[in-house]
Amino acid sequence: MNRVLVTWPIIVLSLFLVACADGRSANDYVTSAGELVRTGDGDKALEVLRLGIYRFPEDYELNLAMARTLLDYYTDLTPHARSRYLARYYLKRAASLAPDSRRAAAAMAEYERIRDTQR
Amino acid sequence: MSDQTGAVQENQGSIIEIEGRGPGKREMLVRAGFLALALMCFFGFTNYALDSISAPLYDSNSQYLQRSLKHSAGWMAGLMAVKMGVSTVGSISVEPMGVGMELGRVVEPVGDVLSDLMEMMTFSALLVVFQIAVLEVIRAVSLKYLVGIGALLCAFSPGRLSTFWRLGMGFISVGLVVYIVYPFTLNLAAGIFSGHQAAVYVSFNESVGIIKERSSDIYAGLLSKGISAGALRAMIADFRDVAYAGAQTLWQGMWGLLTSFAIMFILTPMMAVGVSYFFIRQIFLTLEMPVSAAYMREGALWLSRSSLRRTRKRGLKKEQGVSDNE
Repeated sequence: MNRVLVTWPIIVLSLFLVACADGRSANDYVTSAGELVRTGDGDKALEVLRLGIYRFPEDYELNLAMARTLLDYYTDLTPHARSRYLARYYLKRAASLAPDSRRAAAAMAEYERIRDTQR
Repeated sequence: MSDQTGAVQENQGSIIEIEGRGPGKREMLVRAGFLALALMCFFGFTNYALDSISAPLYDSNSQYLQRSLKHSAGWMAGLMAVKMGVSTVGSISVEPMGVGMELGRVVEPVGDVLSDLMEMMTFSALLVVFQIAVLEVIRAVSLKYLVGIGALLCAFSPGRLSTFWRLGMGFISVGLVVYIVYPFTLNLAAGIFSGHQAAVYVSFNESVGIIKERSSDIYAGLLSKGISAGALRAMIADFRDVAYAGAQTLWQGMWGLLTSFAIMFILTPMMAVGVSYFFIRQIFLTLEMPVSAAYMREGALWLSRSSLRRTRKRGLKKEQGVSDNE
């Protein structure tokens, strides 16, 4: 009886964990990060976006969301602030991954604007 | 088998039967049930039924392993290119101040490190390929053949003490446990690995990206402002920051890579084997098959003792300066 009590809950728990395999899409990561930024937790938002970028490195929305979070959340004043260089890096990636030329041009324009203020 | 003339018999291979009656109704139902299960397994119906639950898990594991293989291949190509460059540099002879010198001696240690890294990447790529193969084999074979053969054996002789029953339940247990446990442990390890690797991988790429952006700013500054004392000082300070960031990035990347390898190639196989062993043994105990459970335990102990003995022997030989081949 004891063996049954010990064994089967473990098996059931395993099946439950099996069912909870991570199936989040790129959009889910962007949405979660947006909610975290709205609640004021920018660091956690960046962590979530980094995990999303690791799983979906070629996703335009994720890279753009990362750049926006860095620019909007971290209001660095010095021209050589790391977050602004990072934002440039992600904007350039977003421009290269953009699904259409209008969005690519917009991302590139913003990249050049930040680059010129830093030089 | 039961005595058809009606004498009461109790034997090792069959359920007790009442005098005067043929095979019990319960026994027939059990045999029919296991036979139906065997047919469902062999014709792929169990695979079809359980795939709807387990498909997301198997698919995400497969995608994860494919991505690992792609990263390994990328790293190997990069290392190979660097090694070729180092070999080319190493073959050049120079004569600074009239003294001849082969650069090979200077770059040899770098070449050795690169060779070791390439060996490690090759080994890791082969392990990933092996895990992909194991995953596909388990998905294709464990329900269809292991559970199917087990069900057939149980249908043949459903007595709890019979050899066929024990063998059959053993096959079914191993088939089910392996079908569930292996992808589960792989998924768990992949989750741990991804969580750790994501931070390292993305941080590495970000640092490289920042270095590129800062380098382009330095170059643009040089072109626009020309070389002045102030500009030179600022440029040197920027180059120093970039070099420091580069060294930090490389160090973090290497350390992160080693930790990730330890998680993926040591932790995962240990977890898969250990958890499978635990579940199979628990199932044998639950099904009142203590002998099979004891055999498993003895097998595991024997394996661990013999590997410990081999390690001790190797250590003693090393101390005595004897090579492994002697």
